[in-house]
Amino acid sequence: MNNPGGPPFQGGPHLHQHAPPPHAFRPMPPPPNWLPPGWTEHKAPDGMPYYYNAASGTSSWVKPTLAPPGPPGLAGMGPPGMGPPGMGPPFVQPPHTMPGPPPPGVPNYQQPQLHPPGVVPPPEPSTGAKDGSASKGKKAKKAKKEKAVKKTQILETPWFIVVTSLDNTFFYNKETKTSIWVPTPELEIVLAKMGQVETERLRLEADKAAKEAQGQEMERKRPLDAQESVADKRTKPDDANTGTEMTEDDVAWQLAQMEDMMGGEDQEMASQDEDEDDESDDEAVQARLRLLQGTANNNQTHSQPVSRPTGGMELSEDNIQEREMAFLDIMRDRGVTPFDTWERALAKIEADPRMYLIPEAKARQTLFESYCVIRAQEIKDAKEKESANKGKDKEKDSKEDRKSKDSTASASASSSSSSKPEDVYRRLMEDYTTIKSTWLDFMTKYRTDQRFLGLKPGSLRESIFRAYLSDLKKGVIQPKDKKSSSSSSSRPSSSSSSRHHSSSSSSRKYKATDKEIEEFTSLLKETKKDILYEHKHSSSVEWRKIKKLIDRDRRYDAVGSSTEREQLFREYADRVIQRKD
Amino acid sequence: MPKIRSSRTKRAPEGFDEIEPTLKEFQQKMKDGKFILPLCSSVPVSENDPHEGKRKVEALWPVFRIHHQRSRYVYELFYKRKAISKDLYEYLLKQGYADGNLIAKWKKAGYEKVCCLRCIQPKDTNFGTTCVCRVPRDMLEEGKVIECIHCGCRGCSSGSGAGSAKGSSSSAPKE
Repeated sequence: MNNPGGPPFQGGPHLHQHAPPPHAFRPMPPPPNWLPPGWTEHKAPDGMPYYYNAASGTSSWVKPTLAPPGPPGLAGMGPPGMGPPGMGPPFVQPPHTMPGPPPPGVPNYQQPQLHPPGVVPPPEPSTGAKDGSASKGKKAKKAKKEKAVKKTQILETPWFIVVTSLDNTFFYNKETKTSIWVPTPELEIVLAKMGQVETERLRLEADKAAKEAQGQEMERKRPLDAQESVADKRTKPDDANTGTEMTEDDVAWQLAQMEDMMGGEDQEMASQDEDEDDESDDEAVQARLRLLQGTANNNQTHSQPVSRPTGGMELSEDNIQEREMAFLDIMRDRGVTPFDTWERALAKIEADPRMYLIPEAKARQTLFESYCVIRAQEIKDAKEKESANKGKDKEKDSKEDRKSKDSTASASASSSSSSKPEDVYRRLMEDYTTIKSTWLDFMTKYRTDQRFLGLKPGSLRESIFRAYLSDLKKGVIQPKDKKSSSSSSSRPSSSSSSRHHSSSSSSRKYKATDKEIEEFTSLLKETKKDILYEHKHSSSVEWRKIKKLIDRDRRYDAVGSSTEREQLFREYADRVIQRKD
Repeated sequence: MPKIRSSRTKRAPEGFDEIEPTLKEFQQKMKDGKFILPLCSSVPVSENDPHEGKRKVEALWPVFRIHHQRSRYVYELFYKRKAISKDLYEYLLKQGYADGNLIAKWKKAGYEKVCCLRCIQPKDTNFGTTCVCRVPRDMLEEGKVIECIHCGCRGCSSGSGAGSAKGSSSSAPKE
């Protein structure tokens, strides 16, 4: 194998498959001086420190003494994902422990044997155990960012294809500990060979998995598609930058990653707490990485790394955006309303694995807030539109209604054109007013109704309503449902003045029998005609006065309804006055 | 505490139905964590919650917390999300679903996350200062956890950095 610019094999005390990872796993690594070479300290998710020997692939809870290979018996106790690296068959099916490309802060203990490309290549990490501590300290910050997500051995060679969390792919030689962006010619041949066989298989599997996922949960479809499109997009820059040999691999990688994403969300959830810092620093890291890549470009002496597409950065941003969009979609799908508290919304979307697209709890909440604002606006708009439509529909209805009535009813109805606001208002009243309704009820209910607002000025609304209501109470107008039979008779009277009631129409409506009326009239006759004359232009106030004079009489109660009494009184008064005149 | 609704009370404006379940939930929570205060006793007796081992002051914290959450909910519905109408908002205030005085404070700069009105009343304290929960996180001793005596708030100053401020605003008076 050709190691472009890689340091010669470093004969440490033990054969290291990997240097102690230059990407420190914790922001503040303790001076690892007291660790035997090859051992690195890591933090388990529960905070327990453990120790890992990259060379032997063993891990231990117990701090290793200077006995190098580490207590083998304890290896089993190590944290998950600590299998001996690179031992699998060529092109191992990617482990399903990783949550897919972009979760930047996934605890690295899951793949401690991997190196991010930005870290490894240019300043040739002479990664031996000696300077492990130095490089660790130095790179701690940047290493946190981009991490290797997957590593696959290329057939029988010591080369691995490594995919990082930012979807960059590079090649790593475990023997020489060099990493390069572009495969060497020799490597390319192997890759091509391997690609033909393996990528096909992988792709098939990935496709199948994707299809399954789609079938299982239709809701997942959208983000998945998004991922797919992103993946497709990614492959293009890859083609351009790394040569044709890479493409198949890349596609396979992307697909496999998607698979991982689906499977690995649980891990993501578990690790979300650790992630919190990472996102904020993301940009700094990106910048750093680019810088690194830039220097790598200039620094052709070390190796021939080609600057990876800055597309990597764009993509990751895209990805965040897309994931945010997906997250909003979840909330929509799950019926989160802007009237929910965050806790309630959380309960609604918790069941959805897509929720973990956004690893940070805080980010989720802010997304929820913005979702609420958007959704509230949407609901408001929808309501407005609906009410407008309703108003229009009603108008249309009333028009048709009116037309049909016109054909049957007398000419008086036809005089009123239906599009006039008064008529629309009138119809609204007729539809929704019963004897029991009050102005306040009616007003509060239809305050926002287009039909209600159509009538201007506002004072007119109340007066019309009150007139209508009093008519209704007096029985001048039949309630709506009865009206169909007597529409021709009641309509003209209702549209005529509400204050003066023609005696004919009123007497027809009286429930009181003639005999009762007779009695009541006789009572009125006994009262002085002068008084009646005095109140020629009587209003109800005067009626009240007269009422007081006569309400002791037995005959006063003969007519049951007070409105009827008043009505009778007015008629009588009119007659008397006319006679006198 | 919201008024009891009967046929005589004013009918709720449009949109109340949508937020009613949430408000009911708050009400229920308030009931569950609520304490019946016997007339002649200063020691609250819990209805459901065991109060053994709790300090006297702690007994009332849940009430403050739920009160804060509910007011915050209404405040956000109207001012942040703009999801309810002014009519409904005023109705809610009038009916006691939200504390208008507290919301008035939230609208002022520097008081965006105030936990309760007691904590910003300097007259109630011996030194004539506000509560300890009003002190910005970075002015406190490093790593010191405070719980104010009034409502159990762990810090509600506006400028306490993104992390702490967020935490305190979402569930301000935490127990």
